[in-house]
Amino acid sequence: MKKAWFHILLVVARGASHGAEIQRQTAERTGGEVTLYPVTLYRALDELADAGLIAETEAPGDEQHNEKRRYYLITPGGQEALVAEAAALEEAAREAKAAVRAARA
Amino acid sequence: MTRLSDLYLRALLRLLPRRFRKRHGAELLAVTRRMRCDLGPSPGPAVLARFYATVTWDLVRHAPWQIPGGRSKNTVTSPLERRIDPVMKRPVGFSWLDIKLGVRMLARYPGIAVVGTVAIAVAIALGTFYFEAVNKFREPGVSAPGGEPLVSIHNWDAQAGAPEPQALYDFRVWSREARTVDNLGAAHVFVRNLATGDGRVEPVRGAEITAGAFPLMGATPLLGRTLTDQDEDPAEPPVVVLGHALWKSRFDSDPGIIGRTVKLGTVDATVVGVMPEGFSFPATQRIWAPLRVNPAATLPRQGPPVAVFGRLVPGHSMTEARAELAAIGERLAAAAPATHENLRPLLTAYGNPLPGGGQAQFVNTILTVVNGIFLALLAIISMNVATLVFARTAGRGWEISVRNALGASRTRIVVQLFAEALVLTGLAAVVGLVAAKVALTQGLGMMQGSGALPFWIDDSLSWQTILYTVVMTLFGAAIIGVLPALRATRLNVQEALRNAAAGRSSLRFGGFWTTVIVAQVALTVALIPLALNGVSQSNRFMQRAEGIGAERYLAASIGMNREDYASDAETFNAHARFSFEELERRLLAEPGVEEVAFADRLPVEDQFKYAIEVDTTGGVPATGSQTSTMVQVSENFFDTFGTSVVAGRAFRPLDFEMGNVILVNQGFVQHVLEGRNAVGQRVRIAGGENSSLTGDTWYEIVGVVANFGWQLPSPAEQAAIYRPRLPRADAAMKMAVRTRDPGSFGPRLRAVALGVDPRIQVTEVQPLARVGGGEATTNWALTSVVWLVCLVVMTLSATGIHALMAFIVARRTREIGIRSALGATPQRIIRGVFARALLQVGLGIVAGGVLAALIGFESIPTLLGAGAVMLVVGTGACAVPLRRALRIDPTEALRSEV
Repeated sequence: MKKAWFHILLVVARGASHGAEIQRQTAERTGGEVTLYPVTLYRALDELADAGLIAETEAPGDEQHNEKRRYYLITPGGQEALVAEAAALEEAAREAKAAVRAARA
Repeated sequence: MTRLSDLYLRALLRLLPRRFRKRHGAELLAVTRRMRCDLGPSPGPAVLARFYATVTWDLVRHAPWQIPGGRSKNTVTSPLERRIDPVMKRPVGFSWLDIKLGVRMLARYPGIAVVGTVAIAVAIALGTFYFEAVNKFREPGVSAPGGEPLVSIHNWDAQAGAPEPQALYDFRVWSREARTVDNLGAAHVFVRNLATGDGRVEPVRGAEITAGAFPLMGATPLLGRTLTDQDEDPAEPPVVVLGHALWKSRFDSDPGIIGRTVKLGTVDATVVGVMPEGFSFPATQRIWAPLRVNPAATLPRQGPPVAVFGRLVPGHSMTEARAELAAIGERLAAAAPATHENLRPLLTAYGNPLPGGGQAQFVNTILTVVNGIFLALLAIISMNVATLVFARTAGRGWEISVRNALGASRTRIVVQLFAEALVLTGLAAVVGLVAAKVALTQGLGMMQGSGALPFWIDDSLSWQTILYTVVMTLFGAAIIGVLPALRATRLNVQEALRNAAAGRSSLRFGGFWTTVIVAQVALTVALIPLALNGVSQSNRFMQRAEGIGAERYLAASIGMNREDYASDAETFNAHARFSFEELERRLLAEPGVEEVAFADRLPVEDQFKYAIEVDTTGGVPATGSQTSTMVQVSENFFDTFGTSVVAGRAFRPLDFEMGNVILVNQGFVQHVLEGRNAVGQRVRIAGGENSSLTGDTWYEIVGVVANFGWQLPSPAEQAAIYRPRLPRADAAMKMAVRTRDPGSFGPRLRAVALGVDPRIQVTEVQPLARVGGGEATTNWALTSVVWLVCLVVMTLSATGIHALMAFIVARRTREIGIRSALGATPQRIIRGVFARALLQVGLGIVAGGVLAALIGFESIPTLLGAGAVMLVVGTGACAVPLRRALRIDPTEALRSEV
């Protein structure tokens, strides 16, 4: 899974969100390590939607005034993909730790 | 965020597919703005630069190749398909995206972009400049202020094959009877001396003109009034109207000029008006007097020569007007066969040269041929650029093959590559148009300095020229884009994909591209001698005054204006002869003046060439050169230029009456007579510049003079004939005055001439050393253009050969690796890989030599030199690919193929 996909899925898994918010939360969560540049971000959103991992949704009630923004929410397929990716990452992390431990021992 | 960066981002966004832009554009911009704000209120320039560079890169790297046009619901797109640009799936046609892809291709291959653009721009600029310049002089399309076309009516003498300028009688008939052309007017143009109160005398171009010409051109005077019908009455006091330039230069823009008296020729006239800037009707005139010949009293084919003009009546076509005038002409011919049997009125658009006649057809042919040469140049340069594009296209073989495999039609791919080429030629067209416009402005500015340009000539580019440029642009793009595209898409898809997967290209540089490279090398080799010839011409212009001490002479053109058409031409000529003799006498009496001579060409000027025939009836063999220059000179011409008769005798006064003897120079003896005794031999002028000199008359050589005063390109051209001629009023004539101070004698020369006869015109007064400066400038400009074209074609040859060799090395990496692994020496590898390039260069050099010889450059050292230059350029172009080939590591090469 592309890095951008993973970070987007992470944000929209918590609730409906739009592009700018996804970018802000990602930067915040990674301490500025990951920046989703605009075209990369929106292209990834299109790709995720195409792949059925996220879906466009209505704007939350309190943000109705801003019609330009598109809100996205994770789909069940997206949740599965995110969990699978997280599991793969966990597995990779476990393997990495084991490898380092073995090397030190 | 500043407005500028907003504009920049919006412009960048245009590179993205429309659907994506519509869907996300606003949000995308907002996010970018916010990111920019996050940088703080006043970030440093380095931070800002990094930010914009990253944002630009983020956008460009995703632009159109990568982004699907948008989400298509219920369709499954494979990853491979997503990589293919959406243009492919559209129906065949031209789209904005094609153009955007073209822009990206230019950015991706800056080398091709720069070389291609400059080369095509040069070709387009030359073609455009030529087309516009020719049109300005041949079909200017002059119209009245209301937009109706202006026309000229000539009285064509079918028997003489020339117009009959004495057309006042006919003008009267046409004015009365024509319905399709109105506001008819007539003008007799002249050059006369204008003497002002301050003692200055200078010839000015003017016209005796019918009063109606001013309202016809919608001209209102800046000061005073224009001419009126009443002014045309011979009983009225003489008046003149001044042009703006004349008023400014001769009268310091004096607002109180109206009412002052000036002397125009022999007439004292009152200034009644000043015209605004830009008015110089009928063409280049600076002063206007009323046409005071009563047409009613003028007999057919009598009176002053006039130009007749008018306005096409709205609602009528040129064809209708021609038909009507033809009918009027036929009636006149029937009524007065004695004078009008062969006269026919001929209507042309105003300012157009007269159609018909062998010479006009010849000029048309020449113009068409030159146009063809420029198109051929564009075609050759385009093909050269096409070579480069083909090499690039070959590198994109994978992309083209995959698109083909996914169903993009051949036409679709050809259209896209055409669009890419169109971006390049379009850019070149813009550069070329700007260059042509600048050249036109500069060129016309130089000509305008002498005030010799008709009023309708300006530096604007007409819509026809723009259209022509567009056609050239499309033509160039068709060659650059379509040729490589057709070849690239001719491949078998499966084979191409297989090759692409193995990292190879299926495209080959076949015979076509070999021909293109050979052609461009040949063109360069043929152009180098032409360019060198221009340089030697320039040197000749600089050196030609050597040997005669040109700095001691003042040169001038001299003529006599016939103001009065009441007396006959013979009387006038006799009067003129007397005046010129008197002028010579008075000049010789001036302090400091040593000699005065008249001739139709002065020594430093380009001489007219004539075909000659030596009388062989006395047993003289007909060998030696059959051409010679000929100059018609006054009696003391040789004394004036300090040369002497080395055999026979000089001219005697009686020779000037009989006119059947000539002198020749030593060059003539050497090259025409091959050293035989010249005196007593007879020569006939078989053909050349001045047709009045050619014919059956045999001229006897009575003397031989030393060679002098003209550095000729080859010794064989030094043959010269001198024919005796007295200064005359009816032929162009030059005058040379040997004086101690040629620089300051000009005004005195004019004053003396005015004292002799106010009708004598002294123009082009300048030191002899400066004569021919215009020719030198023209030569310099033409030589520069040839050098430029030469340089462009040579650069293209070099880049073309480089591209070819680089491509071949890339294609044959594996083969070179294997050969190298098997122990082939570098020499063998070089021979195997580069023999072809060297063969092409060699073939090109030979073809270029043949071409140059056909054009007329037979100097073997020059051709060998040009060939050597091209060989060095060709070998140099191979250098980088050669190094790459020799550095191929066999193991790497073999591994890369697995």
